[in-house]
Amino acid sequence: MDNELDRRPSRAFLKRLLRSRSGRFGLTLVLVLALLSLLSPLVAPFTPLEMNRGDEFEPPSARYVFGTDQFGRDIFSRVLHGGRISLLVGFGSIGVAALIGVGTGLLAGYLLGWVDSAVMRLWDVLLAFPNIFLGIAVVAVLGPGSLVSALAIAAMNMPHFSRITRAAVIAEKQKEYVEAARAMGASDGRIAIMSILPNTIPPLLAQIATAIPRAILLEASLSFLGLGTQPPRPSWGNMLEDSRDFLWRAPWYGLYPGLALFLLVLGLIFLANAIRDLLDPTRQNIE
Amino acid sequence: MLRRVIELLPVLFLASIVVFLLLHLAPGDPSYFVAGRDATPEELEAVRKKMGLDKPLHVQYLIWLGNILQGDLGESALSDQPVSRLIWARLPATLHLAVAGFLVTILLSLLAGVPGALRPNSKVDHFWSAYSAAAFGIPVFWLGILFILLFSVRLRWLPPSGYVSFLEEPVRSLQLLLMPALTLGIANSGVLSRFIKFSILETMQQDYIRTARSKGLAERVVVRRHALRNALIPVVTVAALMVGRLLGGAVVIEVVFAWPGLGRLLLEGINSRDYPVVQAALLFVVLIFVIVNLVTDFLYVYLDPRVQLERR
Repeated sequence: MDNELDRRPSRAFLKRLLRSRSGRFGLTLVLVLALLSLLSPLVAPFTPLEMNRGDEFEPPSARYVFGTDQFGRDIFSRVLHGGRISLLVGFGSIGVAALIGVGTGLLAGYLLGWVDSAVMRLWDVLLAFPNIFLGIAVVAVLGPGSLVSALAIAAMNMPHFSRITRAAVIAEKQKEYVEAARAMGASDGRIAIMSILPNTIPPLLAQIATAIPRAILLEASLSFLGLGTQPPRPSWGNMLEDSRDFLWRAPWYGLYPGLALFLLVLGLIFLANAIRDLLDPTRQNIE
Repeated sequence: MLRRVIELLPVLFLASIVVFLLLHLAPGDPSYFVAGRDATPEELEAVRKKMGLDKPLHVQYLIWLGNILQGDLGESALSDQPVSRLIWARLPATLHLAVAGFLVTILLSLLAGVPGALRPNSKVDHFWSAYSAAAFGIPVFWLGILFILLFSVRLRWLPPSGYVSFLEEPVRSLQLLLMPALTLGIANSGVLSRFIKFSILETMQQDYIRTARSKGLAERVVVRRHALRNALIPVVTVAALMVGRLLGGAVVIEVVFAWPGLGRLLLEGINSRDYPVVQAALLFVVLIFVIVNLVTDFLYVYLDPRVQLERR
């Protein structure tokens, strides 16, 4: 390989990511959709709640690119706005899950003993609920909403981050550089954060990349079930829920929010695959 | 073996505490949720007494758990029917869908996973790889809606939604089953087909495959007798783990196709704040999920005698 040892590792990583076909494809798809969604107040021709009297159930046209719904709301504008919820919940919940998971994983792996047992039992219990059902349980207590569904999704993901970190910490702890740090008089906290944490980053990055598309799918599922984002605020899940009553009158309503969701998730999956291949070169031989 | 069973008990115990606490963490008076909206003060009092609401929390839990272990899941706050009867009434529809969905999953996964593994980087491989990626990324409920749009709205071939028992109207029952089972099967085949492919690819590189080839066996025999058999062992574990996904996917699919299963019961319970139903249904799901995981472990040992559970 040429100048792989770039001074700025993140830039070298991006370069290699763009060299793989699935990385390019995924990144392009995700960037286009994310920009359209995040800039939706500028891009969207209508506000998401604007009802156009007399234009109910308009099929797709130049004025309404994706058609309108039963209140004459522009589906294109609503799809763009809905993307913000998906992105926010997807990235936000995984961010929180990674923070808490890594923190507890570091503690458990470093201290072992009863802290370790307690933390790992907690994750066993969370994992005993297949993911949608954990969402349902959380909603049963806190009531439906975007924030609650984000919390539930974060809770489903914490165990994985925690377990990965713990395993990496236990493996790294044996190594000589940790011994060296200790010999130089570094404190426990310093060893855990400065020496061990950086070495757990590759598996964690791979986990983050794979968890985000799943989180976005789950947010949409929960909203579809009426447990997540509540109408009239648009999310792809609750729009599709709504569309079920009008499939005969307005088939386009059932089509476009799902297409946006599918494309975003597909882009994120391709990106995740590319990232995983880069982080773990042995995988490339199989694929 | 016994140790694995015993290890599961604390998980089940803790999960039951979580389910028990749902009722008490929710804002409001638990007796009100359990007795129902139209309860008279006398009824409320009776419920309080039965649940032991005047006693400390851990005693209440023990009363609740004791009742459940004796098969008394309580009564629905909404309809005053025993929750166990509600669950039994919904079970056939859920099993019907889950079994059909599982079969479709296995069929599609083998179809999509095996050819690509035997001819890597061929056109067949690329086609099925694209299929797997799409199946993995497609939202289950959107796939269901697409099927309805295609087969019911456009082509008018199939009824859009509903459920009838196979014993009552076999033909209509199968017609109604077709789209939900296909949806569930496609959605789950995304993961499983990839797993099958990689498992076969890995097996094909083993020494015993080279041995089989070098002793002059036909490639077909090598693949069938030596490669597939060994490659499919790890697949069994993943296939069984799919049951969790199957249960989750089934909830969503039950909503799309108005399928009167356990998932819908659970959602109806949430929407009407019918806590006894929610608790019982959740507990039931957790129990099934945990048992399936256990059976998977046993199956793995049975299929591959080299694996020993005791020394993990």
